[in-house]
Amino acid sequence: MDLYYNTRRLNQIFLVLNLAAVALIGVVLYKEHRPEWYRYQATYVRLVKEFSKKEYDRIKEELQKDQEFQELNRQLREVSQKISQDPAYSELSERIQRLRREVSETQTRLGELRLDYLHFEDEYFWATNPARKTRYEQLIRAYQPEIDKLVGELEEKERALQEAQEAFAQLDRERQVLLKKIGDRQFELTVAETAYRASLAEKPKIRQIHRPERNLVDRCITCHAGYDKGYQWKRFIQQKISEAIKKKAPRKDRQILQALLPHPRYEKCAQCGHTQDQGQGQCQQCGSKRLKEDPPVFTNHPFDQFGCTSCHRGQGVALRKDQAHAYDEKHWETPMLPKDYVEATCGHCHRYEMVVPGAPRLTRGRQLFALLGCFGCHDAKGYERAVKIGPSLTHIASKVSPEWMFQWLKDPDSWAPHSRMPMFFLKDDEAWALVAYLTSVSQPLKFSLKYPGGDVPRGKQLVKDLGCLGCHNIRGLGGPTDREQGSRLLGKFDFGPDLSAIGSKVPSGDWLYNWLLDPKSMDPMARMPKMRLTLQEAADITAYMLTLKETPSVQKVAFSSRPDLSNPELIDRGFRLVANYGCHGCHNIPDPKAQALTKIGKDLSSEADLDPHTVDFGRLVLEIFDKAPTYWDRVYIWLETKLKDPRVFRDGLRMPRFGLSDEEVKALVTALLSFTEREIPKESFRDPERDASLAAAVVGREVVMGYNCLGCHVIEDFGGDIWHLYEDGMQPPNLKSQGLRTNHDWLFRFIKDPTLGTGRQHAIRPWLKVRMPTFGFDDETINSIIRYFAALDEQSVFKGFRSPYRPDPHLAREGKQLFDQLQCLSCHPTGFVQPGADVSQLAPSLNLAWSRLQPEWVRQFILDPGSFQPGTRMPTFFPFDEETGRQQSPLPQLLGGDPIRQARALTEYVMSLGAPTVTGTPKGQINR
Amino acid sequence: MKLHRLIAASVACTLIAGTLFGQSTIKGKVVFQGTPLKPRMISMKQDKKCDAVHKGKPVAGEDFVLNPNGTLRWVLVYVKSGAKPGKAPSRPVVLDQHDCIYRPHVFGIMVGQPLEIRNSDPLLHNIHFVSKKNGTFNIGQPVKGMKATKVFRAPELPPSSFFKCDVHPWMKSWVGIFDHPYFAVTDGNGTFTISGLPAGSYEIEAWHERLGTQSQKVTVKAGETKEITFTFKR
Repeated sequence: MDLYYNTRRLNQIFLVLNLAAVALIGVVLYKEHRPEWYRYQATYVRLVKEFSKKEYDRIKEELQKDQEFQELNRQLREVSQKISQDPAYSELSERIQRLRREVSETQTRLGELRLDYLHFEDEYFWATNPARKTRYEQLIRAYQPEIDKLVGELEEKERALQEAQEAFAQLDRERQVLLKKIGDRQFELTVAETAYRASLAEKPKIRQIHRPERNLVDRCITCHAGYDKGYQWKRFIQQKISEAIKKKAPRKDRQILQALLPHPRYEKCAQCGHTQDQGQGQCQQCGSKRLKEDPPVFTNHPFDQFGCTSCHRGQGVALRKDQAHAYDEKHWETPMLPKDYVEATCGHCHRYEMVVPGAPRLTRGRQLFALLGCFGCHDAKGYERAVKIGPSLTHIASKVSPEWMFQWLKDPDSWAPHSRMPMFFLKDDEAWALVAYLTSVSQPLKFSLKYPGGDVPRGKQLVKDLGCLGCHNIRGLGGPTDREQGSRLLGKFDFGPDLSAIGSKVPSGDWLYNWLLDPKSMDPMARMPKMRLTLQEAADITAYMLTLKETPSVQKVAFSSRPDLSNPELIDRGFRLVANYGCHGCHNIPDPKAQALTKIGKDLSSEADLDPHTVDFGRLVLEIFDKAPTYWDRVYIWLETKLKDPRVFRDGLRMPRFGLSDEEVKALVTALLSFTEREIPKESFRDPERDASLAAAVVGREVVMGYNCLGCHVIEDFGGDIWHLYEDGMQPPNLKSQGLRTNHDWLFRFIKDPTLGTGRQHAIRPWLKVRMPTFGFDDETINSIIRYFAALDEQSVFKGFRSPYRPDPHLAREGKQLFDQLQCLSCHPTGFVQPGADVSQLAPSLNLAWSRLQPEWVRQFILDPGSFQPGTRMPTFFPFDEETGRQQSPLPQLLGGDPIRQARALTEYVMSLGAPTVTGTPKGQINR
Repeated sequence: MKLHRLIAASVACTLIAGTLFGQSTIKGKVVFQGTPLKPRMISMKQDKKCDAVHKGKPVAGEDFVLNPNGTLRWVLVYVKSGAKPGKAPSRPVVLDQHDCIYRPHVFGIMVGQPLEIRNSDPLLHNIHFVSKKNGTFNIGQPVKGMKATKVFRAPELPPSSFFKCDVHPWMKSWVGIFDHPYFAVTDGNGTFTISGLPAGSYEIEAWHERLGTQSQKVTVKAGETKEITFTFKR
């Protein structure tokens, strides 16, 4: 047959195509059966079997080799044998059994009788028929003695049983101790064995953490399957990785091993402070077993509750690496955060907290955000209450000269290297226009006192002693030594203006003198507190300040000649510049026109939700696109660049340069990335509106930051900047556990007036030189501070009205004996201290105890001072006995040597010091 | 003849063993040159009981003690590098508080070796231990004859590890914590002896509270006794 086609040829083609199709199906089937995640899982299952077998064998072998363990087992055998041969043992156990039976029988019988008895009583009560009443009365009378007898019998038997049990425990004690010791040692083995058996059943599968209430379906743990394993697993995998490198295994295999490493978690030793990988059981430096998770993130956010994407973001349901990480996925809006910025997500739930423990970079970023006054130009949720950070310019013309103003506006850093005033890149004529405007609106100031002249060395000493350096830097007075170059590290002497050249800035002695005496009289919004200086002290400090002239190292800005400052055109231009650059965001300007201005910057409340296609890269577009390894990196690079060099993108931008260090930029970017408007699951979100103590902490922290309490005090483990300038014991107090320590009403009075109305500068430690200032807070602000301290220690502030604390006089008498024998007076003085005595070794006076301290705090502090105030000089008198783990008293003859009772007695005595008598006069004053 | 060989062989063996496994000793003294520093004069007026013990007179501190022969007391001499860790003895080191002074003023102790802290004064002392690697503790001993025992876990050198008393600010004692037993403190003659060292080369360091550290390299053969001298100049 003649055909148009060649059958044979076609058959060949079909065969080839068929084979290709079959092969393709094979490949597809294989790929489907062995997707990417399967390789991870297969490796994991293989390794977990190997690992748990190895662990089990290791522990078993160790135990077998362990002489002590073998010895314990041998002892146990011996002891058991000895006991079982002891006739008392079998006799006792029989007796216990018998007594138990008898007790339970008696109890049953007694119960029955009592039921009857109740029934008779009931009948007797309701009976109307006299005969019936008599009958039940007789019955009741008959039952009574029997019940009494049974009760007596029961008591006796119970006592006998207890005695027998005690005797038995005594006999059996040795064996029980041994059993416990052996059990402790075998515990690890049991755990390892369970893990080993469980591992045998492991199979490769998709694993996930599913939390519908938090919108979580996190399959990350399919590949990162070793995420919750401990230190031994880490070592094991690391070993495998190095083996793989040695064997030159394919890159993918090494990647798989990397993915199987556990999540890094650290522990800090309570004894020596050494930080190490979690799961080693004891400190690698000092051997102590008291280890604490550090930072304590995982105990509060367990994996099974929060999953992975709560913190790292990414696409939880995805099973392919590129999709799950989503760095380059344009359409997945929450890609994984780079390592540098991972703390940003902490801030999504902890939206309103300035301090987020365990997230140091975020905390620092948020503090910088507040400290640099970013909210002056940008709206941001949570910063609505923030106060302008710059000084008021109401009387600026009487404070500084136009030349100084010009120089400052041109280049603040040339004057004060860490100034918070940023660099605006003003041209000379612009700077002069601003000077003209500010001078024209400045209001005249009348000084109430005239500077009489003072003593320079005395003034210098006062500046060192009083604690001025807590907020101000003065070069050469122990200033910022531990600070990064060119950075605005939190607090640390830079809260107020740098005073190294204050004499050139403010040449008027009158101004300084009046300001030092009462800052608020010159600027009601001033944050500088009143130091309660005497006229002499203020004069001396002023004299010292006036000697602080410019040092040659300060680079001067070239002057252009001063134009006519009263020119209305120039003044008007100055106003337009203020409006353009937003000076009013930080400074109060006494001009109604300026006060009507609004914030000039963009709202940053949703800065975390930026998408690269909404960002204006300006003239850097190509550069950034080239530099960014992935799509989403473009946002981070843009943010970093904007903070470092804000005007680089195009002409006409207005944001000034803050001169931030790289680390500060990272911290600020972390803070910005924490400002999200995305919906956060209600279960996770920390909402001050639903949590009163959180609200108290949030507001309190704002006050504490806003008035730089941290310059002097240590609060929440931050601050104490001036501590190194003072001797031990002469520093401002660490305010740890403040909420527990003092009475809230006392604290209120103290903050209101630190002299407590005594007229003395220091009410508690009269020998201190550093001085707690009078801040002049309104009542509500003080309350917010007290609520904050209370919230930190989980106390509620308003405890209800109570009658004054009445110490127990009997216990107090015992306490007095303890007080004398422990020689508390060696350190705690009462009353005034002789001038010239070495006061640096003294402890707070106890005459204020009754009004100031909370008894519960006193008791706990006496029992373990170190845990309340690390580094305190108060020794513990009740040290822990290493063997029993109990506290021991040095005075066994008092109160049965019981530390708890002794501490109570001491508390009662201490609290009786300064307690009012019925007539209202304080009693119990003691003299040294 | 055979006997001779045997004797010769055994003598050779003993000699070789002696040189291989013999223990050597480093002896020496610490000399001071220059104008002596003034020791801190301690006034105990703050605590009347302490003051009474010393009859109201100020006491010379032990921060700088120059012996009559021109040598220094209270210098801690130790093998800084080259020594292998050893096992700690169970015999405790005693730190006594007597007449309101810590005794001894400087001492060494091994990791794991018990330290017994005693109060021999009829008044309150507190023992405040400060260190970087061994944590801190602060215990009060208000009664005469009280004892406390502590053990250290990590090697550490003064000045980062020391004892102080917060009741009596002048009381201070420096401690060197070692993982080997090769350390000594100079005595009233300014001498020290470190014995039991295996043959080898070591770096020996001497530390004085106010004069800092000095070190030198020493190589000892088995069974040898070497003499060295440290000289602190001012």
